[in-house]
Amino acid sequence: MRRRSRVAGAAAADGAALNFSDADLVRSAQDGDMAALEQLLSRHQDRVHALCRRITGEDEAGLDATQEALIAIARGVARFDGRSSFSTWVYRVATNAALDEVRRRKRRPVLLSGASSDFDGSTGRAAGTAGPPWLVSGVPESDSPDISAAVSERIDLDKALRAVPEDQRAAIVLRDLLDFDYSAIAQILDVPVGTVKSRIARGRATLAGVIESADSGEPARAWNQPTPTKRQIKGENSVMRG
Amino acid sequence: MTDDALDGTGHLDVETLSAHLDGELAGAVERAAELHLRSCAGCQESLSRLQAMRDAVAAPVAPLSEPARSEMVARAVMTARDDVDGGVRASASSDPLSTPRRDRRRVKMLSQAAAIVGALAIAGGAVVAVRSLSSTHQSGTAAGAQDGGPPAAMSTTTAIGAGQGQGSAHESTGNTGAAHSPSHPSGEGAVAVAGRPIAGAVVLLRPVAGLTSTSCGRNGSPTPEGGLLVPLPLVSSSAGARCLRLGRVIVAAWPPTGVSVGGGTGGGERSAYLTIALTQGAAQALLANGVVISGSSANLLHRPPVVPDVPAWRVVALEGRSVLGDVSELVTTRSTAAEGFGAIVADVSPESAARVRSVLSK
Repeated sequence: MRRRSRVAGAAAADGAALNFSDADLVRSAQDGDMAALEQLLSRHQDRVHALCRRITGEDEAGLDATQEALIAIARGVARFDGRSSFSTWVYRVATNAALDEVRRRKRRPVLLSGASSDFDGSTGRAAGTAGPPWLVSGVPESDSPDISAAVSERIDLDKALRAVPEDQRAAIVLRDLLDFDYSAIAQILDVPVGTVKSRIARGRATLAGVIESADSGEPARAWNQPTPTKRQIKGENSVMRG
Repeated sequence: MTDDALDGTGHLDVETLSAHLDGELAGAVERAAELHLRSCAGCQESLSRLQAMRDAVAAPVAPLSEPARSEMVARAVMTARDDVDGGVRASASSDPLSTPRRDRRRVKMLSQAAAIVGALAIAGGAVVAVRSLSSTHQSGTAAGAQDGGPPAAMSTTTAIGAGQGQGSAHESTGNTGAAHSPSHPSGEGAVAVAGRPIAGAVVLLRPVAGLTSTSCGRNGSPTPEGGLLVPLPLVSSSAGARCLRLGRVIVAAWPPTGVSVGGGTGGGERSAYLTIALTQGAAQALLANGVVISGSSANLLHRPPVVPDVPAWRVVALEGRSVLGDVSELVTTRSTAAEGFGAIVADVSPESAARVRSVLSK
C-alpha cells in the first residue's frame, strides 16, 4: 500500500521540499511515494539531460537517452541499495542510457532516398525552416541568430565528439561538463581511476586532433595521443609535440 | 621531474598534462609538472590545447523546456507507477543498468512479430489497421506467442497516399518520395518508402474531432471519448521500450502544441514518431486483433510542429524504431477523412483491406 506522500505533504506545509536530501527522497520513493520520486528525477534531470545530450551529440538522441535514463531511474530506485551515492548511481544509469542510445543509432539504417525533399540546396536549409538543416528538428524557428551561431558551434563540437571513442567521450563529459572528479567518474564508469585518467587524456587528445584537422582541412589525426602506458613509451618516438 | 610524467621526447605526457589540468595530480608529481611547465613552451601550448578541449566540452547544453521537463518526469513516474499497479515491479534480476539491453532484445523480438498501428480516430471512431498477411505472418505469430501477448502479425508500412506531394507536409517531412508499391517483392501489401521496403504498419485514421488532450498519459487528463488511459499491451518507444505489458496509450503534444512531423534530417537520418489516440472501441478492436501499439516519442514534446500548416490530424507518424528493428520512417498524409480511408485500403492487399474492414466493423 502506498503511503501518503511525505514529500508532497511537507512541501505543502512549508514549501521546503527542495531541502530534502537525495537520501530522504530515495527512502520515500522506495516506500512508494511518487511525489518523492518526482522530486528526485526533477532534481537530477537537467544534469542527466546535459550528460546524455553531450555524449550522444544529438538533440534527439539526447532526449531519448534522457527519457530512457529517467525511466530506468524511476523503475530502479526501489532496488537502489545505497552502496554508492545516489548521484553516482543516477549518472551511471544515465551514462549507460546515453551510450546505449549511441550504439543503437549506429545500427539504425539510414534512409537516404527522399532526403532531398527535406533540403533546399539553393539555401542550404531544410524546407520550411529558417535554420540550417540540422536544426530542423530541434531548434525553434524563432531562435535568434546568436543562438543559431551557438548551436552551429555546438554542432561542430558534437561532430568532433562523435569521433572520440565512446568510453573516452563518456569520461570527458563526466569530467568537463558535469565536473565530477576522477574518483567519482571511476565509480560511475566502474573502472579504475587510472583508466579514467587515461580515457580523459586520450579523449581530449583525440578531440583536439579532430577539431584541429577540421580547421586545417587536413585528415584527422591523433594529437598528443598517449601510448597505452607511460612505461612503454620510454625511448620511443611519441606523438607528443611540445 | 619524474620520468613517469615524461613522454619519450622529454615533455610531459598527455595523461600528466590532462590530470594537471584537472587538479588530479598531487604531491611531488604535481610539483614536478608545474616546474616543468614553467620552462617548457611546448608543454604550455599542449596544456592550452587541452584546456580548450575541456572548455569546449564544458559548454552548457541547452536546457530542456519546462513542459518537456515536466512531461519527461511525469512519464518516468508513470512508468514506475505502472510497474507497481501492474504487478510487474521488476524482479531482483532487473538491474536498471542492464535492463535496457535485455529489453531491447525483447523489443527486437517483438519487432519481428508485432505490427504497429497508429490510429487517430474519433468522430466515428474509425481506425484502420493495415496488416500484411503475406510472408511474415508465420514469424509474427511465433513471436507473439513467445511473449505471452496477443497473437501478432507482421505488418508492412503503408504510406498513405492521398494528396501526397501536395504541399509542405511532404516537402518538410521528406516523404515526397514515399511510394506505394503494391507489388513489392516482400509480399503483397508491402510498401516501399523512398524505394526502401519498410516493415511495420501505419494506419491512417480519420480526424479526431474534439480531441483536446495535450497531456501525455496523466491520470485524469481529458481524453478522446474519455479513453486516453486505455489499458493495452503497449510497446512504448523511447519512453520505455520495455516489454509487452499493460500500458497506456499516450497522446502526446496534441494540438495546440502540435505534433512534430519533421524529424531530424541531418545526415539523411529520419526520425519518426507515432502519435496515437484511440477510442476505447478502436483500441479494443486492435487489441483483439493482435495489434501492438507503440507509444509516442518523447521528442514530440519538445518541438514545435515544423509543418505548422498541416493539421495534426492529418499527420500519421510511425514510430518504428523501438519495434521495427531500428527502421524508422515518417509517414504523413494530407488526406481528408474519406480520402485517407480509401487510400489506405487501396494501398494494401485486398485480403488485408478486408481484414481491416472486418476489424472496424466490429
